Formats: sequence, C-alpha cells, structure tokens
Amino acid sequence: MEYLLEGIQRALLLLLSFDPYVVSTAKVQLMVSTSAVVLAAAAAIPLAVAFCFREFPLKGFLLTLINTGMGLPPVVVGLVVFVFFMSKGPLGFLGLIYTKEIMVIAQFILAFPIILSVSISAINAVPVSIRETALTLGAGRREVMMLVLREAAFGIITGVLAGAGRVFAEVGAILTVGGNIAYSVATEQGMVTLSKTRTLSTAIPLETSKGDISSAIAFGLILLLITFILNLLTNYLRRRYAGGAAQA
Amino acid sequence: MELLRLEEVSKCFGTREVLSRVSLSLEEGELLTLLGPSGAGKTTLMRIINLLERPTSGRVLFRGRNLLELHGEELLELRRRMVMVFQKPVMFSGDVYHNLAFGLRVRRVPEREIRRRVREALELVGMRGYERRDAKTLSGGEAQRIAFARAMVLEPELVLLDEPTTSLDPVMEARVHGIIAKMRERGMSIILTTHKQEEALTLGDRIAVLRGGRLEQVGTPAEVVYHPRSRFVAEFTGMCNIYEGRVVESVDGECVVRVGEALVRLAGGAGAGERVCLGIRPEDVMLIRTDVPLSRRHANLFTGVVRQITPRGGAMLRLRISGPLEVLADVPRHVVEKMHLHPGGEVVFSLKRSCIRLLED
Repeated sequence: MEYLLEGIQRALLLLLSFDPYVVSTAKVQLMVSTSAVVLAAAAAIPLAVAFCFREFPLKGFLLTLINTGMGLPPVVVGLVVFVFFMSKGPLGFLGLIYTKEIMVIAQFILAFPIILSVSISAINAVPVSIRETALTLGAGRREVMMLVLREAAFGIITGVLAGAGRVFAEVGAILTVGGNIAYSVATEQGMVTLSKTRTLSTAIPLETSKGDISSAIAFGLILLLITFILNLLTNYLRRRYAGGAAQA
Repeated sequence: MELLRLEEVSKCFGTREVLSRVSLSLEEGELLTLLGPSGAGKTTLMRIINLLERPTSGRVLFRGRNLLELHGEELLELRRRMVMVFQKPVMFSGDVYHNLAFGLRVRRVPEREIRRRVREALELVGMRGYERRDAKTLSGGEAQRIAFARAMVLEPELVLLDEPTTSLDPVMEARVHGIIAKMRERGMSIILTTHKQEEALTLGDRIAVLRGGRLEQVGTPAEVVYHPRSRFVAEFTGMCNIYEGRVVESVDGECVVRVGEALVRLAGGAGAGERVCLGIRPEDVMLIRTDVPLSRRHANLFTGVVRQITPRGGAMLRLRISGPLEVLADVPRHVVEKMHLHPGGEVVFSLKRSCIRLLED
C-alpha cells in the first residue's frame, strides 16, 4: 500500500513538474489519437449521410461489414497496417513505418467503422416524417440532408466519442506500427528521455514491466483526465443538440 | 382560374390498388374537402399532389404544368408554392422560431423578413410569444397550430391539410377551423381530408367523396348531401334512413316502392319490379299533428311509436321511431315539446316525395 501511495505521490510530482518524458508522451498520444478521430469523423459522417440517402445493391451486406469493423482486434489491425507499410510491403516506399503518421492510419482504421456505424444508426433513427416535413416545406435535397444531420447530431456525437474512447484506450495497433519508441537527448539538466512514437497507453505496460510504477501511474492519470474531458465534452454537446435552441 | 388538376391518377402498392383513376380539379381560392373513411386513399392522394409519392399512372397538373415531368430547380420552384400539414405534425429539434423559419430560410428570405413573418404567423394562430419555446415540448394542439403557422408563414398558393383535426378536442378543433378561415381570407387554396362529414360540409366549397380509392361523387355540399349518388355517399353524409325495396308501380316519373309492409311513393324513374335502394335524411322526416285536418300535400303518411329521444346538439333532438317503417327523425326541441312527444308515445310522420332519393347500391 505504501508503495502505491509513494507511486501516486511521485506521479503527481512528475505531472506538476511537467516532466519532459511525460509531457512528450502525452503530446504524442493527443496528436495521434485526436488526428485519427478527426479524420475518421470527417470521412465517416459524410459517408453515413450518403449511405442513408442512397439506395444501391448489397446495401444490407455492406452495413453488416461496417458493423463487423466495429469489433476489429487492434493487434490484427496493427499487423495488417504493418505488413502493408513495412519496407518490403506494397506501401513500404512511403517510409512511414514507426512514425506518428502510421499510428494515425492504424487508429483511423479502428475509429472509422465505429463512427460510421453509429452515425448510420443515428441518421436512420431520424423519423421519415422529419424528411417529409422538410420536403413539404420546400427544402431541397441538400437542405433535407443538413436537417436530418442536425436531428441525428446527438447520436453522431456519441459515435465520435465512442471512436475517441476506442483509440485513446487501445495499445495493440499503435504498439505494432509505432514501435513504442522513445529517445534520449542531452540537455543542461542532463539526459532527458522524449517520446517519438510512445503514447500514454503504450508507455503504461512498458513502464510497469520496467518497475517504474510512478511513471505508469502518471500516464494513467493523464489518460483518466482525457477520458474525463471527453465525457464533459459529450455532456456539453448533448445538452446543446438535444434540448437546444441552436439554429440550423 | 384552375390551380390544380388531377387526371386519371392511380396508385398501386405492390398488387394493392389504393387509388383508381381519380380525376379532380381545384380552383384558385377554393376549399375542397376529401371525405372518406380510413383506407379510402385520401392521404395517398395528398402525398401524390405534394410529390411525396409518385402515382402509378395519371397526371398532376399545377397551373397547367405536369409536376411529374418536371425535375431539379423547376420542380422545386413549383413545389415551393404548396405546403402540406400532416395529421400528426412533427417538430424539428430546436425552438418554435427555428421551426417556422425553416421553410423561409431554404427560400433564402432575409432574416429580418423572416422575423416579421414568423411574428405575424404566430399571432394568426394565437401563439404570440412562443418563439423561444422548445418545439419538442409543445402539446398536441399547440404543435398542430405551430404546424399551421409553419405553413402559413410561407404564404403558399396551395395548402394540403391531412386530417388536421382528427386527434384534437372540440375546442382545439374550433380554433383550427378559425385558422383555416384566416388562410382562406389570405387567398390560399386548400385541400382538406377528413372523415368527419360535418367538417367536410361546413368547410368545403366542394366535397369529393372517396371510397376504396375511387371517387364516388364530387359536388357542392348541398349536391352531395341532398343528391347523393350512391348508398355509400348517402350514409357517409348523414342520410341515416336507407331502405331496400321493390318497385310495385311506376307512372309518369313517380314510383311506388314496397319496403317491408310499407308503401313509399317517390319522385324518380325506376321500372316496375326493379329492386331499388332509397334514402331520406333525418331532418326531412316531418312529424304531423293529428289534432288538425291532414293536408292533401302530406304523402307517405306513417304511424309509429317513439322509441328513443336523444339530444343532437344545439336545439335539435333525434327521435327513433318504430313501426311499419323504422325511421330516425331530427326534430327541433320546441316541436317535440309542443307535440308532447315521449318514448312510448304514438306519432304520425310523413316522408316528402321530393326528399326521397333513389341510390345506387
């Protein structure tokens, strides 16, 4: 117990002193996961709208595939991305292996089907009578889509935040493609370790296995803080869109 | 001037035909009521006019242009001249102002003008000051009035009202009728569907009666009420005394029909021996005083016993009279009182020849 309390105490010290290793690791996590979620949302939401507003063959089968994508094992995603981008792979010439960019790609693949699937469900849940009322009031196709999107905003936000929750928590994919790399640099204060492709979620198991419980707890606390902020954001947006007086 | 014309419009859902060769027209400023029971095809017809459904065959002409042949901007421009209010209106998320402004915003009306028109429309439906109310929290009656305001704010040429009072209480129904009157004052043409004969008769300039997807009769309220073409139209417009019988005599445009044990004389051409259906409205049953000499004008005199007296609203009472001919008679309260009529009492009544209609079965 004493060991745990000491670990928490040292972790708080690391956080409050803005320890360069902790700060750089958090930055990598935020940069990679936020980029992945933003890109996945930017691709998935318009696609969900197009999916719901158009009829085409094998639509039902495609939806099943999308839903299957929600449960992709992160390690398998990491492995597939790795195989494609390794030096001898078909996309190896891009030289992206063990970079933040490839970590974004891997997490994009994880977040995209979640946001797409939840957005499709949210749009489909908007009653047909909403579309018909908009049409009868003189709305064109684009205006009907915007209205339906607005009506589905609550569900879509939930989808985006579910995607964010998935990528911020996952380890397997970014560990495989990113390599969990940190490096040391000499500074006036001595040698300082900085993250290249190490994130909070990949650093925790590593530091735990090294016996550096305080660093692991510090990383864990930041992850918890991020989750807390995500939830605050969810509640704020839900209030705004579900009850709101916002205008289209 | 003709605003809308439907030509031979039919609609099938799979193998089920819900509309069959319906032809109708609507003049500018006219209110046409589509009267019929549930499943008659009223809503489908409205949805076809509003382009929410495509007919299987036929043409929909708005100001002489076939809506079914138009596309893109041209279609949108014509469509924006009409608006439909649904039986159960849905509100968009957001406040009442957003709901009313929606149709104007898609028409790119300046925000200042939108504010003015929204305020005016809310006043017209008696909901001034509701702009910032969350539209999802409105009661059924309030939502219906907001749906009317949402339509009126667009100042359309044609308003399609799909059973707007079906789920409303009588007080709210009267308010909605008031709003419809205001729409008419503003020159809007209206098609209103209803299954309430009283509503159809009081509101409509003309009535179109639909049954099983077919148009049974179109005419002014007086034509439809007093000259129903079929038994269905007669029953649906309140002609509750309907009898089947056989013509026993037919001379010079008059015939005598045997209904059970009673002989009924009426004006109308039917061949002797023919089976016919005839009807008379309850208000055309005349009660006859027996303490004064009978006039020769009193034809079809029958004696019966009053079985039941029920209020009909206003100053009218409905009497159920049994005898050789069972009838329902609508009689002013003061007449019932003056004649001392009561359940179990005897009464003499007359059916005026010219008020008895021969009906297609």
